[in-house]
This record gives sequence, structure tokens and C-alpha cells, in this order.
Amino acid sequence: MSRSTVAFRLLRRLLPGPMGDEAIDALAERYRARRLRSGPMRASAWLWLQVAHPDTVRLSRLLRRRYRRDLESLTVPAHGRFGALGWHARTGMRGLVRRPGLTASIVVTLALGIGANTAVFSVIDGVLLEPLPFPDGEQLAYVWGVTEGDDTELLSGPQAAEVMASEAFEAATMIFGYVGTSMVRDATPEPLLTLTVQHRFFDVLGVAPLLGRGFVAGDEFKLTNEQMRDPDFVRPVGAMVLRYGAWIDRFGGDPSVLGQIVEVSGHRQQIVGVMPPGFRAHLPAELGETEPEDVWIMSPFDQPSFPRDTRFVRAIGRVPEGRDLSSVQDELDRVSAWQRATFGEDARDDFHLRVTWLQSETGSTARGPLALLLTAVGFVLLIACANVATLLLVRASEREEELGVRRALGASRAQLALLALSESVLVATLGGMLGIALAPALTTLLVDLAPAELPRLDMVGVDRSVLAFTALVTLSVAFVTGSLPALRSAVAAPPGAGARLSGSRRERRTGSVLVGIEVTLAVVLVTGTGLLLRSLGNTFSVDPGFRTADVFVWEANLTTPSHPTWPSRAQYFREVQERMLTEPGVRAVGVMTPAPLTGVERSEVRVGMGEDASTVLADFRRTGPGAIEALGIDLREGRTLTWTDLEDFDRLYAVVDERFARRAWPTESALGQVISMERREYGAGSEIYDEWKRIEVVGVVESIRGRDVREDDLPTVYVSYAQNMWGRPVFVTHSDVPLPSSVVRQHAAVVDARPLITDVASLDTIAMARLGALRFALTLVGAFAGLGLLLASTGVYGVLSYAVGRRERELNIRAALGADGARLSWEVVRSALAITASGLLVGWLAAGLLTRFIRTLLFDVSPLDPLTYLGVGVALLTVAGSAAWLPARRAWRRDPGGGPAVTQGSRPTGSIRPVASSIVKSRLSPSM
Amino acid sequence: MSLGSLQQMAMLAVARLGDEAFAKVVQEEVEAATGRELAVSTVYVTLVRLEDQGLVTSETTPPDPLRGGRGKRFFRLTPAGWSELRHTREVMARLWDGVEPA
Repeated sequence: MSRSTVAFRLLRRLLPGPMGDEAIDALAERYRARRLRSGPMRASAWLWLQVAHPDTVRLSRLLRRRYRRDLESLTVPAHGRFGALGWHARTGMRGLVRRPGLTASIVVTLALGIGANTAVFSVIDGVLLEPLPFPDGEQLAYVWGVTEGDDTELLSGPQAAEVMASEAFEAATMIFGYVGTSMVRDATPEPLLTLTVQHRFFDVLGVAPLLGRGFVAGDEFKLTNEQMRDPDFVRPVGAMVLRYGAWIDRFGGDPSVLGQIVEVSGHRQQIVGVMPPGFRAHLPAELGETEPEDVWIMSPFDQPSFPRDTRFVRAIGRVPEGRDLSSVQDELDRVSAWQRATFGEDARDDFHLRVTWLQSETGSTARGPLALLLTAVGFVLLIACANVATLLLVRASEREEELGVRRALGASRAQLALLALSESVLVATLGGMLGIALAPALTTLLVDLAPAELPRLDMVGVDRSVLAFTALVTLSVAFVTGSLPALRSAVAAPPGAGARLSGSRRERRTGSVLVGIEVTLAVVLVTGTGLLLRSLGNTFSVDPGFRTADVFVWEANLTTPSHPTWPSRAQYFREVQERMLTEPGVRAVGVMTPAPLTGVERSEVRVGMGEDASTVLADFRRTGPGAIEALGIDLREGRTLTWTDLEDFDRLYAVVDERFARRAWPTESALGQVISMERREYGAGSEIYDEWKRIEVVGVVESIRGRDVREDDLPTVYVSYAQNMWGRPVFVTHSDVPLPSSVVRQHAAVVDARPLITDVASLDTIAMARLGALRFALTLVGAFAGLGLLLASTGVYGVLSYAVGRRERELNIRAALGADGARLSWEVVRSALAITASGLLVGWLAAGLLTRFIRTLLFDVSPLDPLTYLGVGVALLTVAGSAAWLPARRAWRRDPGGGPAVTQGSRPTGSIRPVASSIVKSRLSPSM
Repeated sequence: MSLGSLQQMAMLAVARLGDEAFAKVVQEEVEAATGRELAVSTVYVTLVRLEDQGLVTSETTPPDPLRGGRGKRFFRLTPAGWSELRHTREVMARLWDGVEPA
């Protein structure tokens, strides 16, 4: 080996990296020139002087440092080495920072998806999953009944007492229901929501009062029917416990309220306790109250002595620790078997007791809308994931060369996959963090939009379990979005494989599949929205058979002490109505309980008298003169009710609807026919019995949809108000001008100042509010569908612009060779339409399967409505076509001779790549 | 920061050469101006240090088959390099002001 070869070998060791190679090349050139000029001996001496030069040593140091740095950034640390995680995070972060636009769009997409999911989950967590806020709240069970045909029923007083006496529960209590009534302090009535309970109520829930005491057995008293109806009888004072909020709002949090006596529903009640903050009964939503009750009072009736088929009681029991629900149900089965064997009333309709956990029953009405919401928002997240996976795939193929270098430097496939995965973990984490930041605002928005039926909304918030959910979602997102790019990275080819004219077929296929998935998901979401939208439109175009515009309703809280008899009640109605008619704009007014859209009462009605008469299950509305006119329900035959009809408490008259008339007397006129309905009668002691009363039909009116404009009512009977004089009368008023509550109160107060008059509501407003669940679903599913559509179209745009970018050179050349521009664009657009069409077909199938689940929300439109499906198809193809047209146009319009590096695929992404290639070459090439 | 004279000369050469500022040409330019031969490693040490200081930047041309598949590295002044060079000239001009070389 010559001396100069040794010198060059030494230099090669001393000066690493591309810069070292260059320096050695420069030295070699000078060496060759010197050798020609002065001969090998002198040249060799010069060369050794160069090797020994102090600057060569300095250069060696500088280049080694630089080489080490470059190499570190390219070699993937070994598995298990401490710090490998940090390395991945740093490298991933560097990669993301280098493409800020791409990174920002990925993070924002994920943040929207994750934020929306977090918000929906926080609602689900609060409404369905959080345990009831009572000590061992998960041990509380709710008892109800089912009868023949699986109709759900409440319990009668005696049935509930038998449940309480059984061994099913550690402790149990009866609940009699909510009553919206009035409380009078200083002669001013104010509205009050009471919950009538039994004395064990607080003990069973396991919560002690904050102030004073709860109920004790001695607070209960039983009045005879005579005492109940006697206006002169002085009732004993009842016991009442305040909810904390009511204590603060109504009594200013004054501790001296204990012992105070107030008038509730005309009866004296003494405040004996105040419950701690946050305490309220969380009862099943079917009880119809979403507002927390203000006070708890005790029933003055002897419930256990009520008729067995008068069922209006619920029971709540505490299940002993360690006992499961099925053994409780077994015990209750024994009780109801005994009940059926012993009592004819229970056997007649095959009454069975049922038990469930109170918590699951409380959220039962919310489950449907929330499941729908979770599905919609889950779809949005899936679309977002597909979108992000596409973007990361694009990025992975852009990094192909860099990954190839890493592979050549010894990184395993697993390490490269991990590197790609670390990027998706990073973007998912950033998206998750931004999503959590967005979540509280989105949650508030959801709670504001939520229909009143959703219980426990006050418990909704972003808490630890919500954060855990978000973390889980974020991790899944990282995995779902990262796995494809990771696989793509793992198969990166070594560098120098040569530039391709357009992207690989596999790449394009993966992109197309992802876009297809996005389109499929978007089709399902948009179809759901379309169906809901059509339902809402159909709902608005229904004629319910009565007037909702310009009709106003309000209630008067007539109490038993102030109006104990029928004549005094009828007199009150008449005087209020006469005064109201003097008000300018008021055209008709009357009493109807319940009024259309405000509730429904049902009863078996006998056609004729006696037990042999056939029965019709009917809706009935207790009605006074003027109400049918105020509602604009068309009279078909006979007449409506008059004041004369109401004079006699025992002679009852009714107007029936056409549906009832057809059912009861298909071949003859309904006028003058007789029907009978049960009326509750009170004995001298505490016994109660129901008597069938004779009712004469005086008129026939058109049928209406008063329960829900989306379905027919049952056959309806408008029976004289005297049939059941109790309860709160609802006044229905037709007025050309809006009717302020103050005007109504003024007129009513002239007649009698004692009854509390509720706020006046228009039937139009009530009708809108009743569409709450549909509107909630539509608003949110619509918003999510919009978001999904936007994401899907950006996905289509992104993939196509990338694919077009890869094919740009090809398209340019073809355009330069004279290919028609429009034809080239069409070629690109056609491929987009093909992907979209296949996504559309799968989406249609999926929508056909999934929209069945929103059937209950749909009205007058089939879940397979062809018009909606077709509309969605046209919309998506249009969006995808436009998304493809833009990049296609851009591609062939660019100058084909536009210099080097025109395609996205070969554009340098940073200075690291030439360095990397050189390092690899210097390592791979044989020494000189 | 004050530039050494070799650094100044290298930067001026880079500035003068424009797109042709390859290390070899820079060396020849400085050698021509000073009339002295420099060690190859001296020129590289100077350029590498200037690059590390952010005063020059280098880029490699696409691979050249005539150069064994390697590209050529050429240098360019960064804005910081330009301002440093200008600053040095002003300092020198101020210091030279009123001084007459013998």
C-alpha cells in the first residue's frame, strides 16, 4: 500500500460525512496536480503535511460532531432503551412542526370530533351513568306493575302497602306524585310544586335534614270523606319539609322558618325541616316532572284503604347489600301471585309487580335520544379519523425517502411503524387536549338545547370519568388514524428506487378506500338528517283539527277549601268567562281539562248502561261551555255544551267526536244516545267507590289530534265538567290579540283573588315545545351531519389533490402533447365520482339498516324514503365532484416546463434529505 | 461577534462568487487575492464554522453522475452574514479613518 493511499485512508477516517468527502475530493484534486507537477515524492510529502495540519484536526472534530448529530436524528433508538419514548416524541414533533398547515388541519379535525364526543358523553354520564346522589343510591329500586298486554301500571295504595310489608326490601316507601299548587303567605298566592310522600321517604333515601326534622309516623293523619269535603271542618296542621333551594329562594334561608305555618292548596302546613343542598327526589321521568319539587308533604288520605284498582302510587325500596334484583323480583312475584289469588281486582287484569333499579328507570326516557346522539357524534369521529388517516398517509408517502434512509441505517420495520404511530399519538393528544378545552362550551350548548324530558341535566359536567373517556377516545383515535400510515411506513423502500411518474396503485387504492368509508358514514348521517327534516316539515303541515294560532291557555288552582262544591266551581267558571269576554279581542273562552296538547285522560266508556254494555277505550276531556268554540273544533251534528247542561251535578251531558260516534253507533245517529263513565264517590267514612254515571250525548264534533299532532287520538268524549269537578280547570281562550298573563289575573282576581292563576301560554308555543325531542335530535344530528359532510368533502378534496399532485407530471405532459384540458379534468373527476358512488351505495345500505332506529322520531315518512335517499346521493356526488374539479383544473393548467421539482412527490421537504442520501451513499459506496 | 480576517475573506469570496461559491472555488479566490496557498482543511474549517454560526448556508445540487453520483455543495451568505460583513467593514472604515499607512 502506497504512502498516499494510507494518507487518504487516514483522512477518510478523520473526516466523516458528506462535507468530509468533499474536502477529501478537493485534496485529491490538488494532490493529483502536484504529483504531475513535482513528482510522487513531493506530492506525498505535501499530502502528509496536509494530514498533519492543525486545521485538519479541527475540521475532523467539527465534522464528527456534525455527523453524529445527523446520524442521531436518523437512527431510531433501540427498543426498551430509556429515552426512546422522548426521542419518538421529539422526532414526531419535529415532523409535525415542519408541516404546520397539515398539522393544524389534523389537530382541528380531531379536536372537533373528540370535543363533540366528550360533550355528548358528559351528558350521558350525568343523565344515565352517574349514581343517584343518595348514600348507596345504587341500592334503590323502583316498583311498578304491568297488566294484561304488558301495559305499565302504577300500584294501588293496598298493593303498595303489601310490597312494603314484604321481605323484598330492607325498607320501602310510597310516593303519591307531584302536584303543582299554590302556597299562600301574607295573602299572596305563589306557585309551589309539591311531592306527596309517606313518612319513611327520607329514611329510605338515606338522607337526613339539614335543619329541623324529617317526617315521623305521627305526622300522618287520616280524614274521613265528610271531613275532607266539609268547608267548615278545621283540619289538623300538616307537616312540610322544604327543599334547600326553595328555602333559600322563598324564605331567604332564614332558619326561623321552622315551626312557621303556611297555606298550601288551602290547607295549613307547618314547616318542620329543610333538606341539605342538592337533595331532590330523582324519580322516573314518566312522573312528568323535570323541575325539582319545592316541598315534601304527606298525604291526608288513608291510601291503604283505597280501592285496589285505583292505581296512582309508586313504591321505592332499598335492596339489602349483596342481594340481586332477580331475587327481589322473585319475592315480588310471590307477593303478586298472592294478590291475584286473593283479590278479584288484581286477578281481573292479571296484575304483576315489576322491579328495576331506580337509577336505570330515572334515565329511561333519555336513553333513546342519547343513543341517537352518541351514534351521530361517533360517526363524526369516525369520519374525522378516516380524514386524518388519509392526511397522515399522504404525509407517510411524502416521507418515503427519509423512512427509506432510516431503514437503510438499520431501523426495523417495527421501529418505523412506531415512528409513524408516534406522530398520530401526538396529533391525537393535541386534538384531545383541544377537544377537552372545547368540551365545556359544547356541553353547555347541548344542555341548553336538550328537551325538558331529559332528567338530571343538572348533574351534567366534565368530570373525572368524562376525562377518562376522552383519554380512551384519544388513544383509540391515535391507533385508528396511525395504523394505516404505520403499515405504510413499515414497507418504505430504500432510497434511490427512482422517481415515479405517479403514485403507486396501492397508495391510491388505500386513499380511495378511506374516502369511500368517509362517504359511507356521511351518507348515513345526512340521510338521517334528511328523514328528520322531512318529518319536521310533515309535522308542521298536519291539520290537527283544532286551532292552535291565537289560542291561549292558563290554569286556575281552585282549592277544595275555597271552592268545595260543584255549584261554587261552576259559578267561578261562568263569572271568569263572562269577564274575559269583555276583554277586546277575546272571541271565545271555555274550560277544558285537559286541553289539547296539555295532557290526556283515558277511561273505559260504556255504550249504554249496565255491565252488559259494550265498552270503548276513549280519551276524555272534561268540558264547559265555550271551550269547543274557542278551539275551533267543527260541530258535525247537534250542539255543544251550555251552562244549563252544567247546572245539575247528577245529570251529565257529553259531546262525542266522529270517531267515537262511528265506533259506538255505526248505523244510527249519536244524538240522544246514552253512554256511561265511572265517577268517584266518597262514602261517609274514608271509603271510596266508583259509580257508573249515565251521560247523554248532545252533539258530535270532528276528530282531532290533541295528544300529539303526529297520531290520531282515541275516540274522544267531551264530557260535562261536572263528571269530575276536582283538579285544576284549564281555561282555553280564542283571542285575536295576544293575551298577557296580567290581564287574565286581573279579571280572575275580580271574581276571586285566592286561586293562583298560572302564566298564559299559547297553544302554538306548546305545540312547538312538544316537538322538543324531534327538534333536539334534528338540530344535533343536523349539525353533526353538516360537520360530517364538510369533513368528508375535505377528505375527498385532500385525497384527490394528493393523487392529482402525484399525477401532475403525467397530466402536464399529456396536456402539452395536446390532450384536451376538459377531458383530463373529467378523467380526475370521474375517478372521484366512482369512489363516491361506491361509498354512496354502501352508505345507502347502511342507512337503510340504521334509520330504522329513528323510526319513532319519524312522521309520515318511511325510513326508506326514496326522495331523501336520492337527494342525499345527488348532494354527495355534487360535493365530491366539486372537490375533485379544483385540483384537476389546477393540475393541467400548470406550465409543463415549470422547472424541476414540480410534483409533490419529489419536492424536497427539508435539508435533511440530501444529507441523508449522502450519508447513506458514503456508507454504502466502497472506499476510494 | 468579530470576524477573523480569514472568515472575512471567505465570506467576501462567497459573496463575490454568487452561484459558483463552491468550497474549491472559494479557496482559489482567497488564494488569488492573498497570493498565499491555504491548506484545504483551513478553508473547510472556516466555512463549517461560518455555517454553524449561521452566517453562511450551504446546499447541494442534485446528484451528478460525473461526480460519482454526488452533488456539489455551494455556499451562500445568510442575511445575518451580510449584516455581519457590513458591520465589520464599517468598524474597519472607522478604525482606518485618519490612519495613513506608512
